[in-house]
Amino acid sequence: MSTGLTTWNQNLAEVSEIYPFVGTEMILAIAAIASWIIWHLIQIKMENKLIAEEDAMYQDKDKLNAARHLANAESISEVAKAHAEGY
Amino acid sequence: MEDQLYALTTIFTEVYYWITVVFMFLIHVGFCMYEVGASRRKNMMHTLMKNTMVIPLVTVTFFYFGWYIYFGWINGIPGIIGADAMPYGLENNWSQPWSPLMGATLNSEGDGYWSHINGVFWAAFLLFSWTAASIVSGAVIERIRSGAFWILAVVIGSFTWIIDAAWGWSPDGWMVRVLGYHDAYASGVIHAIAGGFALGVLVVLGPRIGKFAADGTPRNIVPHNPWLVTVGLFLIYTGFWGFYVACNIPILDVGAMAGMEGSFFSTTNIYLTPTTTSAITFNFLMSLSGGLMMAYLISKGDAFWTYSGGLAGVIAASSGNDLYHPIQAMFIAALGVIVVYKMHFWVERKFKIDDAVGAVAVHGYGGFFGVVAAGFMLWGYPSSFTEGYAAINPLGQFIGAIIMFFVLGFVPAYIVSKILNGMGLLRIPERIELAGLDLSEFHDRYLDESEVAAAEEEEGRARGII
Repeated sequence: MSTGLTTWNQNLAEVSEIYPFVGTEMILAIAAIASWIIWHLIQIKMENKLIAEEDAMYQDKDKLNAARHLANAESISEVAKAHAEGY
Repeated sequence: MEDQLYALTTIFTEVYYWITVVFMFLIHVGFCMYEVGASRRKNMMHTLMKNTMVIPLVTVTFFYFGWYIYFGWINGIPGIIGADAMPYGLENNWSQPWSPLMGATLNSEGDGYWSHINGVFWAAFLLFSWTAASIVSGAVIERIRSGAFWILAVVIGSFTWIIDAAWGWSPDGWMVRVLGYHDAYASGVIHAIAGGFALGVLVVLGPRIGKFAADGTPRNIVPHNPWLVTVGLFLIYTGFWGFYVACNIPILDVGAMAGMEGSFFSTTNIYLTPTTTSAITFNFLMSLSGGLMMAYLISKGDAFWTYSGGLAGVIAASSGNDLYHPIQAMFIAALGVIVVYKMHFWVERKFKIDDAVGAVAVHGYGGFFGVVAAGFMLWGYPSSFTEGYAAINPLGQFIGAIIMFFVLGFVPAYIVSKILNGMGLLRIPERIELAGLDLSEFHDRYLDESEVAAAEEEEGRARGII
């Protein structure tokens, strides 16, 4: 059983590919391009879901204001202050 | 490789490009830091991740088709422009994703040169691809959706910029042959196209909420961390050293091309015409200095514009920095910075373009200026060793700059952005933009920090420590 190279003891000037499974390059390329497209599709689906959830949550103006206070806080004490003020 | 001198030349070239890649990695680090520093606290993580994911997405797509376009499309776009757009056809076997030369090989057809060079040469071009996408990334922060940006990043990083490289940044590209196009350090082929691309996205994307007053006056959205911006720009400067030398071929026998009887070994630019690393070192530093000095004066000492001006100065001189005298490079850089600075504020006010980091100006207008300036400065210089190629000239450079900025930059970006916008995928909803793009992740982190701080205090008091 060998996935490719079986010896280094040969005329190296005539050795070309040294990676395993020579001959499968086209299949690998097709699988790789498909995986790239699928990645974008999954990512957009995930992002759509997250954005829809957040946007729905921020329909509540109190939550939106609370988020704005927390997001712009520069320290934990500011976060604590925002909490104390009811945000 | 059996000949020691041939092996030394080949492996020296291999290591040379490998080092340029390491340096150019710093450009991406710099862009990430710059953008994160320039964003507001509520958008930091989104900004960081948006640009970080350029790395894998542009890398894989540049492997799949970007490298092939560079060698395959030098005469146009197959089936659309240029009858023989693919002169190498399927024999172009060092850049197909299924080619053995796109993997570990010791020799190809009895020769070890491309087995050693292909991967590092591909990577050097790839790092230019990251840079092109990263330039766009900064302009659109704080309101673009990540998914949309990543599609746009692939469009410029693995498609449009490499088309322009095939056409105008290759010894055999049709723009070099017909127009006499010369752009040694990529004023047009990276910077003008990326600036034009960013503008095309920005026109569709629109400004951030609060950027413009009701009467149209722009407001300054202040970077949350100017020190991070500073370090980011210094890293970009540092990475530019790698960028410059990656645009060269370190050692080539140009004697035969020159019609000499003997050999003449030289460093060359991408067009295979001679220059020296010393020449470009002079010119890089003098154009950086010219840019910084003029930007300081014109912006009245504004730190952001002084740093950006240094970059703009280098970009404005880059087209001809293989041949300019260093003092010429300095003055061209200074002139370019005036154009960049004035154009930025004029476009911002006139068209309400919210370019968060001035990328359209620094890269787009600076690159455009650089290409045109080289047409005048190098008027009549041969664009190539090959007989019959047009000489460098102002009109050819001007047409070239239009192709870079508008045809391959602005137009594809505008079209793709319109499509994404039509699908509701381009821009973050207003409520989330107001709350911050870091969404619940950032919100939860603050709550966790707050909770842990309160718990520490409670336990500390219970143990009598505080």
